[in-house]
Amino acid sequence: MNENQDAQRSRPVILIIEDHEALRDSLRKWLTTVFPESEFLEGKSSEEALAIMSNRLPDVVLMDIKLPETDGIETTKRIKKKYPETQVVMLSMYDAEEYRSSAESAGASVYIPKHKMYAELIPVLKTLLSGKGNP
Amino acid sequence: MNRLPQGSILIVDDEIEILDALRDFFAEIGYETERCTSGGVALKVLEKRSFDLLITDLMMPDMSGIEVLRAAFSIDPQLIGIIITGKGSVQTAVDAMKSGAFDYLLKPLEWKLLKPVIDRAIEVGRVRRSEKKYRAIVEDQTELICRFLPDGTLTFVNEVYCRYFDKKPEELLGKSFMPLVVEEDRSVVFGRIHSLTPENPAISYEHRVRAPNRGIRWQCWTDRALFNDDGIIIQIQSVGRDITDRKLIEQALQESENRYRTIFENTGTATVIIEEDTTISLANTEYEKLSGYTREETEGKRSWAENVLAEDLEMMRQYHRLRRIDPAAAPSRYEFRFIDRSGTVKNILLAVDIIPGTRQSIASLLDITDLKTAEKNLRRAYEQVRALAAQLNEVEEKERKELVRELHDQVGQNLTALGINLNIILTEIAGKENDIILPRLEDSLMLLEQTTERIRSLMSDLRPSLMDDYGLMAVIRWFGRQFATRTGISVTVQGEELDPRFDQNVETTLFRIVQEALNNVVKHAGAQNVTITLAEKNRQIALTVTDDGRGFDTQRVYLSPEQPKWGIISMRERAEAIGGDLRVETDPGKGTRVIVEVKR
Repeated sequence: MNENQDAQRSRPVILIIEDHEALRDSLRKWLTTVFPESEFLEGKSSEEALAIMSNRLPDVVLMDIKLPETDGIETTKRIKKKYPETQVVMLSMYDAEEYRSSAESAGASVYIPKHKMYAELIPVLKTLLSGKGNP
Repeated sequence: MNRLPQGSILIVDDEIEILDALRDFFAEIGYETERCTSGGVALKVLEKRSFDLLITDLMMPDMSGIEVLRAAFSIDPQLIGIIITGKGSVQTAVDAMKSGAFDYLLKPLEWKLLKPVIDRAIEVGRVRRSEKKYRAIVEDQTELICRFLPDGTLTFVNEVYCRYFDKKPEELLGKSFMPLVVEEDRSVVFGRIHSLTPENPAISYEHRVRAPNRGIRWQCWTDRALFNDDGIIIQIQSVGRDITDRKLIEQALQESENRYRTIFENTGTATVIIEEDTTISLANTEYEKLSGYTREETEGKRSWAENVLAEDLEMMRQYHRLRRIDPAAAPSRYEFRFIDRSGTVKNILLAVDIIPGTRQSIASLLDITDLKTAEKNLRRAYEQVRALAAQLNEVEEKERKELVRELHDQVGQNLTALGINLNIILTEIAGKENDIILPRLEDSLMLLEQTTERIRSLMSDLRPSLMDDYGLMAVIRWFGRQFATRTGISVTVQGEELDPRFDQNVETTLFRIVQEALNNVVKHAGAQNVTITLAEKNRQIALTVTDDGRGFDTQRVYLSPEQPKWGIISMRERAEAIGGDLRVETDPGKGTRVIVEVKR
């Protein structure tokens, strides 16, 4: 672990992987207001996610299920294989059971359809981050 | 003649010299004689004993020779009579013969000629005497027997003959039979009789007669003529029988033949009769038109093989052979290509069969060239329409997919972002009293939620993402759940996801068929339960949608133009567009099952 990581050990790190820029932006701003002490990282593809994570390991990854090239499910599998401690929250436009079960098999901790995000995301993140000893 | 015939002769003449001369002459040649100078005396003698021959002068004071003969015949019908006449006129001789005379002699008597005449007369008499026995035989027969003179005068008729014409012998004898013959046939009969010669003494012919109470009848006669030394016909012996029944059968046959001929000619179809060696023995006018060859050019001259396209010839030759071994062994109805005189190839529908009890076959040829062309064009047009429809479906699906992607990637995400933003604002102003902004914001959030929901359902209506992400079974399961929630009809889905996945277009089509089938169930079936199964066996995929609803009468639904077809046609078209086959099994009260089968 390098010095930088040591210094920021106590700050939760949240990585947002979302190819739609406006949504990614809104999401970060929203979560910043709720978790002001957290650090936010952003990427728009599977490749960017893995590249970022090789530098800085997030506590939670917010993963869009639909990504260009490698999709959210496959990316989650890769992340969980490499970094089993990292929690993945799968965000999706769909609420069909098939997607939820795929996400869970891939290793996602939680599956949240986007239309339920306003109500469900914050409590989920709070729970996940509380494992880090943060509120 | 070496041996002298023995016999008795009764001579009647008013001239005693002639009587004596004749007695001496006859004694010399071995005959016993009795002489009478008048007819009256002669008849009395005749009543006491019989003679082989009666010779009477024609001109006598008390009775004429003809009168003597007639009276004598009534005493002894078998008696042979000869007239001696001084008047050598033909008429007299004819009169004499008509009275039943066997012959006549002219005065002065020529002794040289006398002997053979007498000898023959005696012999005929002998034969006639034995006719009692002969007659007994004759009467047992069913054949008509008669003898007549060249002019038709009957000299003998048997009982059958009399019965046949319902006449007594005396009504017939001495008269010509010609009046019994139907007018139109008389000259024929006469001609036949007079065609007889010593070289060709016998002839058979048929003619019609009028039989009292029985109308016109057909008879067949065989004539045999007796000739004198000069080759002149003396008498004809004839045997006949009634052939009316046979004639009627022949006539009926002829009519039947004519009828078949007429049918053969007028079927409106080219028809031929074919011999075992492939020669056409009979052809009708339609065949002339079809082939371009006249009947004369065809019948007995052409083989059917000459008008068959080479590619079809071997098969047809084989059929030709097989058919003659076993008529059921070769197809009796098939198509082949015919070449007419001008070389034009025609499509022919052939119907061929063996004529029972023969080695011939009858074949009718229907020119279906135009029909074939029309059928081909129709099929081509139909295939084009089908291809277009299939293409249209594909294009539509592609567009739906594009639209869904656009809705997902842009509209959906924007709406989500918008929602987040509104939530941020909401958080920001939370706790601060603002009667104007807060309710508007809450309204907006609700509208946004509704819009998002609307877009999501629009997306799955257009094309469920499961289709592309998970496959046919997943999308069917998902749709089943949706359907069950929406309609309250229980849906069971059975089967595994196809592995490997099928062609996308095929999967999409099968899903669309499921949607349509379920749509029909909710619209028409009144069912409680629906089962959808998907199974693959030997690279054939079978999809079935079964309901327990009211079913329907396929005949009524398919055949009635007013009946809605329950979307079956559209489902079938979809199935056919992917090279599949769709069928519907149903009966009133028995539910409905839609089965689609597609090969990989």
